Amino acid sequence: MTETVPNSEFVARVENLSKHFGRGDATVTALDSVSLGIRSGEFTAIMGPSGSGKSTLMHIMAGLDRPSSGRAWVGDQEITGLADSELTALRRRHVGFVFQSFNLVSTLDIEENIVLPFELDGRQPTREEKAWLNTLMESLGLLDRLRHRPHELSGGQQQRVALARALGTRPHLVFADEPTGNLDSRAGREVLSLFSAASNGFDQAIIMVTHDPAAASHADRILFLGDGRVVEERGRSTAEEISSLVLAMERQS
Amino acid sequence: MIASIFTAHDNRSTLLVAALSSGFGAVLLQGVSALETMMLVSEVGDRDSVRQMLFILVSVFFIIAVYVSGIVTANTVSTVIAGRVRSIALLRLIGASSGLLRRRIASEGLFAGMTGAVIGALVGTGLTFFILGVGIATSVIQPLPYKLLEPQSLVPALIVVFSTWFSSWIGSRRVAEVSPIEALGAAEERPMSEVGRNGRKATAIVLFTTGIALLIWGIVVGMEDVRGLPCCFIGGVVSFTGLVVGAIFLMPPVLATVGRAFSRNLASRLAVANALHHPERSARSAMALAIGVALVTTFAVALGTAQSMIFEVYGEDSFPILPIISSVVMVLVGFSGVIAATGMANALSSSVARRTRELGLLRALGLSSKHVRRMVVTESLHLTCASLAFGVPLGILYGWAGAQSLLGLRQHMTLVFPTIPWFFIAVAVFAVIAAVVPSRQAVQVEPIMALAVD
Repeated sequence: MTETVPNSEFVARVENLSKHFGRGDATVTALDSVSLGIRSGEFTAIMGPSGSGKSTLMHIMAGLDRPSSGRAWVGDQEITGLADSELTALRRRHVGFVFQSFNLVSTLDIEENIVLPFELDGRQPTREEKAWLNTLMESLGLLDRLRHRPHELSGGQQQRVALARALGTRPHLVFADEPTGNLDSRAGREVLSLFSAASNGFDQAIIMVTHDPAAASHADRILFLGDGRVVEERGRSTAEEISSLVLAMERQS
Repeated sequence: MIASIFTAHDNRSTLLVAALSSGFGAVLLQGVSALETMMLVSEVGDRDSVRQMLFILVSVFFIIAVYVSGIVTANTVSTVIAGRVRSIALLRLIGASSGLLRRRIASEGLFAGMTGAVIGALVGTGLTFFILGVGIATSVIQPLPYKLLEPQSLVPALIVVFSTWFSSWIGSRRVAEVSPIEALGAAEERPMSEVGRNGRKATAIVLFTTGIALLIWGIVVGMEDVRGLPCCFIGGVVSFTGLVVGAIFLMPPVLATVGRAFSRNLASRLAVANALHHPERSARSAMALAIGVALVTTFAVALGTAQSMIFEVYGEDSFPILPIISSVVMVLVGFSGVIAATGMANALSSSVARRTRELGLLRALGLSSKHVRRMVVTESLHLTCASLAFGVPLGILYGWAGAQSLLGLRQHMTLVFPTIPWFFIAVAVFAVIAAVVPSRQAVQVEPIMALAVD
């Protein structure tokens, strides 16, 4: 039995996390001894060029992939070393996802998509949870769309549905992978301010992977990854500050 | 040369179906040749007429198998194209003509057909040799100079090669419907309304009504004349081809009705919703199996009806050999059922392969691999039930029409429903087999697949 470290300060954290792909001379180090913690109510952006390890970090923190070494926790639960079925249950109950390409289930209508995580857990939402879902759908402006199919909605609306689905189970943390990558800039801004509002208003931890400085400027905290390490960390910054930091980091490498 | 449109997996199903029918043809032909050799030394009265009858019987069952394989192959090709709209559109965008793409697809079909035909012929011949060898060793079969390898043994394989090429060509018509513009958008399978083209509908209606008219005429003629049977046979084939052409209009309502019985839990609701969301693909898969079901039912009903008519006239003990003939015929027809079930298994497995993204999403959101498996099994059961609902009534109609036209001149109109439980058992077994192959694939889907960006 691995020792669990209860820590009320963080809803998710990793310690000395490393991930290597391949072996021998062809070994690629995607993550190199990364340690970080995420607090509830905090909207974190993870930035970095392609190949910096940001996707791998997210996959491991979300229980989608396993590290080569190091440990990871979601809530008080250590997730490194869990079996596939335990990881599946963990994702279902404690982790939410928002994807670049929305990834709603095209065969289900909007409401069914939002309730999906509960159904996957083999249960109906309780009365309390129903009230919460209602609050979510109302604040995201989805109440008049519940019977529509995903393809009948604009990209921005689909991403709101994805956010509602991710927040519905009140997970410890929500992962967003380039959530504005497929949206025009106005729809992208709207979605990002909803993320920011959800994080502060609902005390929800959100981690967003992005390479767009404008998107990262909505976050409370920005982590910069390079070559598998956290190379820089900033508080809330403007898009200009982030851009110049990214450019400076690129010049260094 | 342009890049191959079809993957090895797509061609494998065409190859398998070609191998099955070519092997079947080889076994049939060599079996007849062995029987002829046996007849040379035995005292069969009218040797020539027995030989002729055997040849006709064997040809009929081989043609049925080739017909079923042809439809399965054409379906496979169209289904694959429907799932590759994006890459085909891209090839069209950079300048490939749809004629070039069709020729390319047909030649891939030709190659798969040739490979399959050769494999099937070899396995079939090996099987005949094995059975003869075992038979001679156990003194069940007389040791005679059997000539199994004659030039005409190649005929079934050649027919299979031609029919595979031809049905690939027919199936590749779907390419002409792909517009180069589809490469630019996020092309999904088109909704029903856009698929429903008037040409297809008209063809289906003309074929079906002509076929049914021939069928009725065959029954009427059959009251007085033996020529009613061939008329019914042609009517059956033509009307059924009409149904196959119109499958994408006819099947979705059947699927929706059957699906209502399944909507118990999330996994089955998702399975049914998926089948209904891709009407073109599901209709094709279900139709492939419906053909097998209809064929098996046709012969079961025809034989059962004929048998009870004959027994009624000549008494129960008149033809003790009749049940044996029935069993042999059912086995021969059942083989076409196997080919049809293979067709559905292929369609399901390629549907799973194409839904990697969606299955990955469900896994990421917390659907366990057990539920994914259940989902695929339910989808396969749903399609199987729909094909039963479609194929069994048709088979009863055709089988009854056949028996009626053959024996109607001796009998007043009677309709007998034979009970054949093993037929339903066989279908259930096929359904399970059909489900096992794709579900194993589905479970291997990693949750990370959902995050991949195309």
